[in-house]
Amino acid sequence: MTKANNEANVSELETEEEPRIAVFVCHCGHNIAGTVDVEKVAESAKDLPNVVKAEHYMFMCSKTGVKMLQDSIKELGVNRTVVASCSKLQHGRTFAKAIEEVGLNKHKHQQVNVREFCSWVHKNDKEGATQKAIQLVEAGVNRARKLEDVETRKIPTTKAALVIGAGVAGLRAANDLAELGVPVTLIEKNSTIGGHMTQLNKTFPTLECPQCSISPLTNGVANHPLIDLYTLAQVKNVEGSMGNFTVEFEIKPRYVHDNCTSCGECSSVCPIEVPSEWDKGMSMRKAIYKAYPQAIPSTFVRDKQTCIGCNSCINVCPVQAVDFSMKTEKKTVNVGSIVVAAGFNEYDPSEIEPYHYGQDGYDDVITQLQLERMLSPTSITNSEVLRPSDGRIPKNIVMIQCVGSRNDQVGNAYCTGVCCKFAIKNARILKENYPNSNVTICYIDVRTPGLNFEELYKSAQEIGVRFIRGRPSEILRNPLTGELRVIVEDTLSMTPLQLKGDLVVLSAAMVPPEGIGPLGSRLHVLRSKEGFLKEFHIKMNPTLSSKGGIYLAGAIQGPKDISESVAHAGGAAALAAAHLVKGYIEKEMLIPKIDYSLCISCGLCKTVCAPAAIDVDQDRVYSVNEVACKSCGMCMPACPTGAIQLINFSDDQLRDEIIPLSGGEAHCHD
Amino acid sequence: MTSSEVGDFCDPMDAEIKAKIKNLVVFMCNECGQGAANTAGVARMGYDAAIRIVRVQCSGQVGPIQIMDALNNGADAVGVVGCCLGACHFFNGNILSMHRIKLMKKLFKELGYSDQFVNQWTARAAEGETSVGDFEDMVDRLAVAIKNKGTIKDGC
Repeated sequence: MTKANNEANVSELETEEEPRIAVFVCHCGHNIAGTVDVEKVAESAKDLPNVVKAEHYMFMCSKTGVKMLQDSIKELGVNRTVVASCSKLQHGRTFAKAIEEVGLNKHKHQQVNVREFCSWVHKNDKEGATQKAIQLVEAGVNRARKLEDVETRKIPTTKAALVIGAGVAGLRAANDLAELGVPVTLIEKNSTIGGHMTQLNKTFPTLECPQCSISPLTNGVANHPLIDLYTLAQVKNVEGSMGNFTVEFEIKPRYVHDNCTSCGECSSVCPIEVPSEWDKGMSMRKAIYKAYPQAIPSTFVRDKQTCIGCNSCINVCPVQAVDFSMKTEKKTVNVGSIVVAAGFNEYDPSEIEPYHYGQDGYDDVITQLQLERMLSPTSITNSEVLRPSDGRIPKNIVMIQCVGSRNDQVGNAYCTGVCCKFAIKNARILKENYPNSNVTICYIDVRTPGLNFEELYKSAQEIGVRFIRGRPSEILRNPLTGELRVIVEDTLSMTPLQLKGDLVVLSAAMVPPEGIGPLGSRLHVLRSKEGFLKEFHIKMNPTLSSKGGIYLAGAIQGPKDISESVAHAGGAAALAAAHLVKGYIEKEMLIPKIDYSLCISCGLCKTVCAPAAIDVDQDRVYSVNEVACKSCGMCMPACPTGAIQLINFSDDQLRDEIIPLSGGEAHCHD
Repeated sequence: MTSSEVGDFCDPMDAEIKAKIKNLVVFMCNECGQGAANTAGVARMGYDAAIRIVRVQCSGQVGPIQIMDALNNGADAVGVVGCCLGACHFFNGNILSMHRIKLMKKLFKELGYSDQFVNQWTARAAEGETSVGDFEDMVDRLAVAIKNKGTIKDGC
């Protein structure tokens, strides 16, 4: 018989819909046969309906065993196979592949596990194990009877990616994707790219210049031929699923054209001054401005909210780049993957009342990011640390750790994980710059895991930074002198202390960025209880979001330092590019089917579907998005009418399997 | 066993009750559930032969239909085993399942049956003892329920 002939025979049989089942019981040497009476099991399977062959053999996974399986299909016209041997994980695939070779769909194989689930765990109960094996095989045969073909489909993908956020993670992801040959659309909410990293003075633990580290990346991305960069842009709508998304985003006007030479004439004539957001309020900016000298894109930007429309900038611009008539644009792109790198926000400590952050008279209470801005080479103070209240160099500097993290009162139970490291780094820099100053860090626990961080901690201790274990209860201000005192209990020596604080620095937590809620719902991805976007699996898939094709990079998934963010972004980019470079997604259509005669359009299946794989049109007709579906079957119990059924895992098929396992025939109830 | 022996009945009676338990249907998810049971098997950890494992895609796939199918057909009790909370491979199926099982328990109680008909556990694929612990707990809970309420099957 030729192979073509066999296939013809098989397909003929399938049209008849008569299940012909072959059962094979494996001895696995003594592993199964030593406990389970395999002959008895095979014998009992012979009497089951639709079983045309039931045999037992020493090693089913051997070449001979596999040939027995294939021969039964060729010679007896078997169209469903049951092998009672080891787990599906171990050899399920071997047998599935074997039946596929002779023309059967691989989902027509039913693996019954009588080794790990039976013989190996019931060594002392041979009778019970044999009885259990008989039941397991009967259940397997029942299950096999109604197995359906599941096709594997190739779905073409759009070779393009969208990266949301141009901080260090977003830049890394965009760059990696572009280097893999994927055209990238990179959108950034702010007017400049580079994110929080550009605001820093030094990076731990090596005390490198962050601006120097990131500028090759920012320049590279801005000039990459495959990367389209849009600043002042925000996602408005996302449709589609893995491989084929349609994303609509909105670009706010910059009011300055690209021919700007960044000469700064406009800024110098602008009469408006407001605190600079990028400089964390430590300096002033004009209404038409550039966030910082090295900013990319180097085009100036006009802040429409604060501008009074005096037109002086328009008149003074030598290249006529300023244009107040620019309008908000909308753009639509088709992409195959989305990488979300929306980053984080620094926690706003004004919520914690006893620290009086941002209140009148408490100007000398600042955050670590503000301190970084003062220390930075581009700062207005020329890298000097000066008290915001009187401009003097502070003598006593107190740092308070865990502001907004490890604090159930503000709802953030998590440890940000980087505050200890940057506080120690800043304390060391302060102590080096001002050897006569007293730098104190009030901590709960010092957490400096990882290479080189313990050394950083030690070096800070050696240089004379004082560490006090205790969370300060309050910052008090002397109303006459304006002097600040930090009230803290040193919990190691049980002594209450009042620390003089000329400058108090709060190590504020990393919190989800503003606007993450709307962004999450537009992307149809779920968020963790802390508000970050939730990863698909904390260990095995930390870069995939709850929805296939949408990946997370950097601190949007949870607090991370720069190196972790970069590594995370690289992983996200590799995953995002995988199916784009290949050009297609291979997907087994193991998806639920909806019986429209039963569907009542209640939408409950849609509410439980985590990967958002259930679509609904305007006529309230629900359908399964076969690409997005993850075959979990969570929609099945949610359906009140049983209209939605996962193929090969339907209620009917599961019932057939459950009946013999529950002890046989149905009892009479009613 | 006569009532005069009540004084030291604990262990022998437990064993007697446990011997009566014949079919316990456990729905185990395709990820950590199956993984843990496989690991237990590979490590040859013994457990009660009454345990019957059904492979489902996710613990969130198991609903009242499956649970009632098993109980109606003679299962002594039903267990649902999924991944640890927060580690579901299908995102939140185990949490959905938790809510569903809670409702089923409530329903059984309101109908006057023991709520130990159905229980949910979690398991870790790398630690076979988690699944064995789940199975042992299942048998123990059922034994206690039978002792307190008579055979569960009588209520069926």
